[in-house]
Amino acid sequence: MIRKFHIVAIPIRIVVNKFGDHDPDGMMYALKENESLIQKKVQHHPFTPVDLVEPLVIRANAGDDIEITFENKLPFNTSMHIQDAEYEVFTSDGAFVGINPDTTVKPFDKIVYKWKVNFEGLFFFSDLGNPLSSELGSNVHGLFGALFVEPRGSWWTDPVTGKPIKSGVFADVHNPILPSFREFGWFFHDEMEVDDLTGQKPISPHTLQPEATHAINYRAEPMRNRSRLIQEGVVCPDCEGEEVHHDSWAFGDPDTPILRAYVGDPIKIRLVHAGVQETHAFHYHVHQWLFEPTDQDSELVDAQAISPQTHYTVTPLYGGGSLQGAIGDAIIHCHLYPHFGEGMWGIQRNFDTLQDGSQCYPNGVPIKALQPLPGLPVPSKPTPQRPGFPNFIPGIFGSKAPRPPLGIEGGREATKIEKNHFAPNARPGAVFVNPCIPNVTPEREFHVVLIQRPIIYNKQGWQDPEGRLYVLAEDEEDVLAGRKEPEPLVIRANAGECIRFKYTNKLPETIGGNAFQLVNRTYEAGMHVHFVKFDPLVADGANVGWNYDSGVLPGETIEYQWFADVELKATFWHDHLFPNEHQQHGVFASINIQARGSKFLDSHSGKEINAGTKATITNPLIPDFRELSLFVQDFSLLFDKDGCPLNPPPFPGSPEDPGVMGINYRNEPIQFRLKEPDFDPAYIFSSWVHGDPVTPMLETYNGDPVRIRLLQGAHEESHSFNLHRQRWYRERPDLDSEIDQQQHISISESFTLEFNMEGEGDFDMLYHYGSLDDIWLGNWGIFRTFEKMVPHLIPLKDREAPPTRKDPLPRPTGQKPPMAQQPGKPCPPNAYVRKYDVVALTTRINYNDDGDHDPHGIIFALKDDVHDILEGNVNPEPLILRANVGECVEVTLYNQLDEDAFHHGKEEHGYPDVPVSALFPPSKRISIHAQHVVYDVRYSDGATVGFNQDQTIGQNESITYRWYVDRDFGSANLWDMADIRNHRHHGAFGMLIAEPRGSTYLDPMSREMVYTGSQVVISNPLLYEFREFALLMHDGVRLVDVNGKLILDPEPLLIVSEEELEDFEDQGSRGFNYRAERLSHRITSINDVFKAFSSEGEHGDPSTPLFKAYPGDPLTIRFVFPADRARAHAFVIHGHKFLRSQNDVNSSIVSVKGQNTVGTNDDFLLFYGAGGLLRQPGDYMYRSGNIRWDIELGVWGIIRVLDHETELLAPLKPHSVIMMDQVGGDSE
Amino acid sequence: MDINSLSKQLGIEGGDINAIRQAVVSREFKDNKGQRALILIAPYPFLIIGTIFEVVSDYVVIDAQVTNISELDDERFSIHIDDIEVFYIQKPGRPEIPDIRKEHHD
Amino acid sequence: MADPIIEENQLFLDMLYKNILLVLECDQLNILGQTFRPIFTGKVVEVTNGFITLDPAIIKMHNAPFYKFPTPLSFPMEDIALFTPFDPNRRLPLV
Repeated sequence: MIRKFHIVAIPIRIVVNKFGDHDPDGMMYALKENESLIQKKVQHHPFTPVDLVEPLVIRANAGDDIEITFENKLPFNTSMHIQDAEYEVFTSDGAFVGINPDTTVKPFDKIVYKWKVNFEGLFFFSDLGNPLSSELGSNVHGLFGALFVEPRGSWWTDPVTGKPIKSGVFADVHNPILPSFREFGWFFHDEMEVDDLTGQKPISPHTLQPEATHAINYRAEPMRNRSRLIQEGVVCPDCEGEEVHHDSWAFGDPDTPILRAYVGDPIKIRLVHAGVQETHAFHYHVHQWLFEPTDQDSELVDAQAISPQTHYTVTPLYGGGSLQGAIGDAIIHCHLYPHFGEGMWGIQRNFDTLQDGSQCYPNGVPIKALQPLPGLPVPSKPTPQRPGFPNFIPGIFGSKAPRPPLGIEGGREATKIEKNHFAPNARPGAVFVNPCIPNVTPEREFHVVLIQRPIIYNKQGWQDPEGRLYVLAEDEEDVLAGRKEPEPLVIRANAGECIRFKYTNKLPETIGGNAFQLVNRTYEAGMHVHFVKFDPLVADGANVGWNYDSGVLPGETIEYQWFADVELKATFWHDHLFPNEHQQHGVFASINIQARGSKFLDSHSGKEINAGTKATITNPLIPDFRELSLFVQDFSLLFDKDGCPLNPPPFPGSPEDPGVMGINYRNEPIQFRLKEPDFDPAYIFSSWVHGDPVTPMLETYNGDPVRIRLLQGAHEESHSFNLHRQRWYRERPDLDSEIDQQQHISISESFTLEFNMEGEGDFDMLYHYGSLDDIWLGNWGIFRTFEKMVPHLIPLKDREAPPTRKDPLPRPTGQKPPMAQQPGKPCPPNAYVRKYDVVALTTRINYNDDGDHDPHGIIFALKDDVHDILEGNVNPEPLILRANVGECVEVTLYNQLDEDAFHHGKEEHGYPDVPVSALFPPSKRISIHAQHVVYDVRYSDGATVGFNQDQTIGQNESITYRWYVDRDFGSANLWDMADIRNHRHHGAFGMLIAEPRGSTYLDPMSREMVYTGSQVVISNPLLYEFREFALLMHDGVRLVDVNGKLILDPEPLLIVSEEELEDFEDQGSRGFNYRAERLSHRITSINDVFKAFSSEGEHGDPSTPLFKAYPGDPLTIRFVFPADRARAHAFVIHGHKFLRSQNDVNSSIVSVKGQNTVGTNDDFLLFYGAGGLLRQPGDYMYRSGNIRWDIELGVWGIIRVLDHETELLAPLKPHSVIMMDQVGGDSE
Repeated sequence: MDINSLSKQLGIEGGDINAIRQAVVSREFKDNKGQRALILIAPYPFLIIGTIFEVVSDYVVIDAQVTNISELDDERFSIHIDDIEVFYIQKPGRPEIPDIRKEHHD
Repeated sequence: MADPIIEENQLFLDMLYKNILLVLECDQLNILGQTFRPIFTGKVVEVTNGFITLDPAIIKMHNAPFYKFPTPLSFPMEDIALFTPFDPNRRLPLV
């Protein structure tokens, strides 16, 4: 069926809340039929949000054709570019790319776009006529929307009236053979240019400084406005701010989305990041969902990182209220606390009584009707005795939410009406719903205390004088007295258990009063948990909507109850009353839910334990394993040993990336690991020279099963966990999911990395959190494994005991370790050996044809290419090596670095800078470390870690690494590990690709065999031939322009930047494969922005790789992200799609991959080949999804699908032709 | 009835209970030629709704009206009966299989 | 239908007119893109020597665990992995 829409892009004042915060220059897509109504309403209500001003959502069914008449009423070209749909790139790309015709629309003109959609889901569309990063651009002002595609045969109605609707972010969707569901569009968007009522930048009443706004669906409910009502004595005069930020009793409901359902209603949240910069963390209280909604084996999640222009469908298990059928308000928010505080939250509300429009909320605001979903039982009508949520809760509007009944020691009596709503098995901590069956469900009890004490993070005395942490009551004295080292609390329970808590708040009443934070009351705290089943009204450990406030005051004790319905991973918990003030001080913990029947032992003594980040888990039915819980942290507000703040913010209370980082309240900054006389960064990880780091030492015996529980405790940044040598399934329950060595993590996410410790001998593996920012500040550590018995580690009982140790364990000598003398023997004896001679050299790299270059490039190149590079005949590309599965790779690396070519020597490095910078001279040594391959860590790790031998080389030396390609891992990063600070961002990285067995690698033009290159043909006797395009996305680059002037990126286009330099994570230039096609060289005025990607005119094609193919050619994109900063990026490709997990046919079909950060390695096997399903020739853009600032800085390129054969590109050959060639004597 | 007489009736050698059960399902389709049926199979395209045309050995031939994939609507599929996980045959007087190709606006 | 139920299928006949939980062998099924583990509850209204029929047939979809399918559903016995008498109102973890 064809569905037609007339859509118009209009300028519109967007008011994001009833406090009058607004974007005066808002822009939106609207249905033509609503245009005048919207404008009229906005004119009449200039200071309050207008319902119709919301991101445009239109709907269709799978299999439909969609025809959009798009009309532009903005003063510059705009467009609608859609992801995931089928369309003709010449007519409907919504962009002006390469040699394609322009499909953006000039002001007051129209175009017709035609799309076809084949599967259910969210199809994001946004403007590419003006993708500027600043407020001159359109996306930051709201020019985005989505097409929601429903199962075939569906129709949709208004949840309030039950009448059919044509657009709208919320709908009830119905289908003859599927359950009806509530559909909620949830558009995160960041960095909107919001002014306050008076037209000024909003000011925080706490810091009296300007504050940003982060939004959902053109709405934001930042704390600043609500705090002002407290300060002015309008509401809740005893309150502080954050503890009531989400409290509807104090303020009424927020203007951000409220997703209303009845308990048990099926729900789909169509979640998209329509913003421009940050990678957010979507977290939904009480509910969980499958990471891949179409794969029943997929991993369960309740928090998900989301980068710009990426999307998910969130389908909560068991519908509204989850398994336990919980009523009440479940907050949904970005877990990055500054964003949460700046407005990025809403509520999912589960009613237990029928809402027909006749009821009111406790503040007298009418409750809109909510049509019951057909096919489900109609909820009972509210009665005076049983009014249902929220009207049985005895709160007073204008005051803080009341405390829950039963749970608080010495608390109040429940009212009669409250009792009428009690679950039949009500208990303290599980009053209105209790999934545990008394005397049947096994119980486990803990008494948790939240305390404050100073925490020292490292040997140099970096410290948090106001460290705050959960401890078990039995350990409180020991931790306070210093007999027990502080670490994040990790407790454990088994699946099927009811976990009961007594929780006592022993925190001081205030925090701060220093360079990081103003004095702030933090008089209330709780335990908010993820994943397990609980009654959110009384045990959310939070104060949300019309629920009770389930935190307690200092000295008070409350009971909570959690039910672990199934085996879970590390289940994060933290405080939800003042997290923005003190979670970064350590207020985070975990309960790890194990398989039924498990016991938890101290790995040293073998005794059963109640808590600890490390444990040995035994179970009679599954293999025993080592469990290691790692909490990464940022915004750690530490002082040095002299009491000086480390990386203080511009003003106290500023959310601009203050402080440092850590792992489990520890860090090992690499600036302290330079040793006289050489101060050589090549040995920073060496325990021979410096002893072991203070960060968690993870220990096993070879062959032990391991589960690393990966968590982020605080606070705002993306981190990228990388581990050398060992590999795990990205989704633990799904053996079809990708195998990886790296994991992006945002706060509140939880991952289990499960593997078997492979290797021989005693050896040390590096783990680190990827970005320069992380490693610089000390977010790295050592995973140590032993071949023979050591006294401090019990063997696993279900494995053969390790042999007795005769030689002593190594001890630090203060000396550099000896060189590794051989590459090891990881390969089977008959494996084919593929040899590469690689040279590390210093050279100039030209990033584009306009003169931007890195004069101090440090690169890897094949030996045969070195001459041409040094002579300037070839502008280097990153080294790309290939090997077939089953082959042994021997890389001999030669060090030809010229120290005179380093960009700095004796001074500090400077831009791109790091927090707490220090002198860190560049190393003259170099190495190569490879992801994914099998090798002997003692000899071929390419890093000098722990008590391993030296695997880096000095100038004019060489080393041979030997790697075995045991499986089809596709792309892998290659890195230098001798100097993360000074080499990596200058280009000391590359890519290794595992190809199918028996493959040959051919030049795409000549079809001659090649040894490297980003664009090749892979030919294989059993598989189809395919074109392989290799992309290395990277940032943190230090470029100078044609005149040798340093470029301080991000340098926004066509405006003068307000800030001198952005946050560290954003500092530096960026690109693909040492190339950046910066828009500053292509456009000079806002009227030309739409032409920036066009090859017409003087600019021609971009300098980023121009990939070529013929229609229908099989295409595989190899993608890695080797360097350098903590900022995560999205990768988008136009007109083509791929499986999110390449080996899992049940995984989602997408055209964008988010959360790309240091260590990301992925493979995109494009559906239907070049030109997509329609096999359309044309130019297809690949690019970053980060409008701020990547696209402007040149992170885009073109895949050119040619319509006729040219000599520049040899056609792919079918097998019959290849065999004929061979018979004919061509011995390729 | 015992297993042997039912085997004989179904033309199966030697009272194999698995074969009997399969044969009874096949017979159900054979007995309902011309009726609409809804079939779920684990492999692609997962869902097939259509009219039973005939049964050929252990395959049922369906004139599909609707599948999960709109491009496959109106194909004539031969489906291995042993791979049918779930089915429903719309016999006279039993609930109707909804037509998802109709416009719904209620 | 007319056939009497043979002894080997008596265990199914014992379920006639009772509510059961029924799980099939396959990994997952898919209706119009909505995937689910093949877990069903409902009342057995028909037992033959080859299949049984549930009416109502409730599909325990992960997002809609009490979804009543608009028609009865029949299940070939050879594909059934397990069944048990079961109160269809009970809540079950599905992952």
